[in-house]
Order: sequence, then C-alpha cells, then structure tokens
Amino acid sequence: MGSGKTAFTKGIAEGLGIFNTITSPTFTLICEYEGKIPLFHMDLYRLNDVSEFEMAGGRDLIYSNGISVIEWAEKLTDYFPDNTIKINIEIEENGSRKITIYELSS
Amino acid sequence: MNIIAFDTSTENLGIALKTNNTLYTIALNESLKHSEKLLPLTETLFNAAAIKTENIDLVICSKGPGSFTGLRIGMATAKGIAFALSVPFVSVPTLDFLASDLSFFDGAVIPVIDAKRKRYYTAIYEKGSRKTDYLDAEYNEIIELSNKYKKILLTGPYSSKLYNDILANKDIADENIFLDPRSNDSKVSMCLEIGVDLYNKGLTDKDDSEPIYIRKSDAEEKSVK
Repeated sequence: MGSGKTAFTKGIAEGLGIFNTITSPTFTLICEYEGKIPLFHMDLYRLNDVSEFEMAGGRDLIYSNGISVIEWAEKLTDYFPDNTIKINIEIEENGSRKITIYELSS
Repeated sequence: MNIIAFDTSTENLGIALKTNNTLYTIALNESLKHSEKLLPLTETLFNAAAIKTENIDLVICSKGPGSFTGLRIGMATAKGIAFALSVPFVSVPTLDFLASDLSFFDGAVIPVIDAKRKRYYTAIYEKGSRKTDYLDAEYNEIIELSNKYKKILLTGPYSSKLYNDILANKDIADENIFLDPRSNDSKVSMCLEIGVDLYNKGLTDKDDSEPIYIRKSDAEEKSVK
C-alpha cells in the first residue's frame, strides 16, 4: 500500500502515449486505456476468487494484444502467461523505493 | 420469417441474417472488438435486407464455451432484442456448430477453441453426435482422447496451431490427422441453422439461460491466497 504501484503504472501509461488520469483500480478491478497499445490496469487486492477475475473478462484481457499491469498479482498464483514480467516494489527505511524487475523465467 | 444469429464466442465475430429468401452473413476476425462491432454490423445486415429490427421473429446466439466477455456480449444482445420484441431466442453450444458441417467425416471430429493458459475447450463428435462432455482440456488430454480413434479431423479458430503442434511432436501419425480447410472461417451460418432446428423442436431458451463457461471450480484452481 502506498508503495507507488499506481505511480509506476502512470509511467508505463505515459510511455504508451496515454495522458489520462490513471487512478488506482482497487475498487473497479480493471481500468482500460487506449494508447499506442491498449493498457489494462488491474488491481486484484479485493479479489475473492479466480472466477471473479474470469467473469470480469480478465483472462480475455491478459491474453489480448494489450499490456496488462496487474497489482497484487500474487493473489492469483500460476495464472499468468509465461511472458509475464514480475516487478517488486519495496519501501526502504529512508522512504525511497527499491524496484526489482525480474527476468522472464523461461 | 426473419432470423438473426450472433457468434461472439471466439475472436471471430459472426453475424447471420436469414430472411425468407436470402442468407446474409458478416464475419470478421478482428480480435475481441465484439462490443463495438456487433450492433452496427447487425444494422448493416438489416439495411442490406431492407428490414427493421421489429421484423425479426427469432434471435439465435452462440452459447459457448469461449471468451467470457464475448459470450456475455452475445447473449446479452440476443436476450435484449428478444425481450424487446417479445420473440423467442435460442442459444447454440459453440462446439456443436463448429463440428456440425463435418459430420460426413469417417472418424472423430474435434473442434477446439483456445481457452488460453495452454488449455482448449473441446469435445469429440462422431457422425454428427457428441461423444464427450464439453471439456476444458490440456494438450495431453486431447491426444489421449484422440488415440481412441483411427482418424481425427480438427476444426475451430485455433485448430491450425494445435494441428501443427501435433505434427511437430509426432503425437498422431500424419496420415491419421486432418485439418478442416475452413477451420478459421466463421461458422455463424451453422449456428443459425442449428438454432432454427432447436426452435422447430420447441427448444427455445428460458429467460434465465446462461452461457456455458466451463468455469473451473475454485477448489481445482491453485488460486487466491
């Protein structure tokens, strides 16, 4: 919470030429933005089970021709495609952020 | 009698309109723009046939399995039109109509729909009748099921990739596996035909009819922590 997940997503959005206000999708689950490539910003924090994600069309979106940025992705393990890039944001003691971007596993 | 049919269950969007004399169809494979395209293109067909929405007597849609979003768009649209006009609507299982024009084949007809996550919605048909449940299967399960048959014919919008994978892995001998040359084409006209058959048998959908999602139960999924 408050680590800057949404701020990070704003940066990705700008890179895609999207200058809409990016707000945290905590309550909406999924926000869609039109850019050079569509951006799907998802927040799974409030997700109760996988079928909720599926019924919201989540699977269709993450396998479509867009970029999905998924906050609290650890709520769904073993769900995402092989070409998923994992990003970890930690808050350091001095308030700065340590951002780790993991290589693709395969 | 004027009949409209929608297939929104895969990335291929298909719309068919049958009037007394003529069958009009539109198909496009622009991935998952169904919500934007379905109604304007339906109107295009109405204009081509010079009819109005209120001249429709029967509404048909694909029932799935397939894209969750697509299925809901199709069924919501079909229900909306049917309720507004007080006409019946019929939903047709997608795998049934994908396989239905291949009942001549002497072997197993296997329609496949990409379920993502390396899974496929599928079922096995012989001579036009379904021999399995509607399945959400992995590659290996499809091979296992296929091995019960001497010859298999794959169809469905994703089947060419599966066909190539099977050939590359040599899981089924080349001479025993066939690919529907029209596997990528919309089969919305078959959806319409089967829907009319169901209607003629009195098998119209109830108000609370739902798509076939084949949702895995939460217990089966290694899901939410």
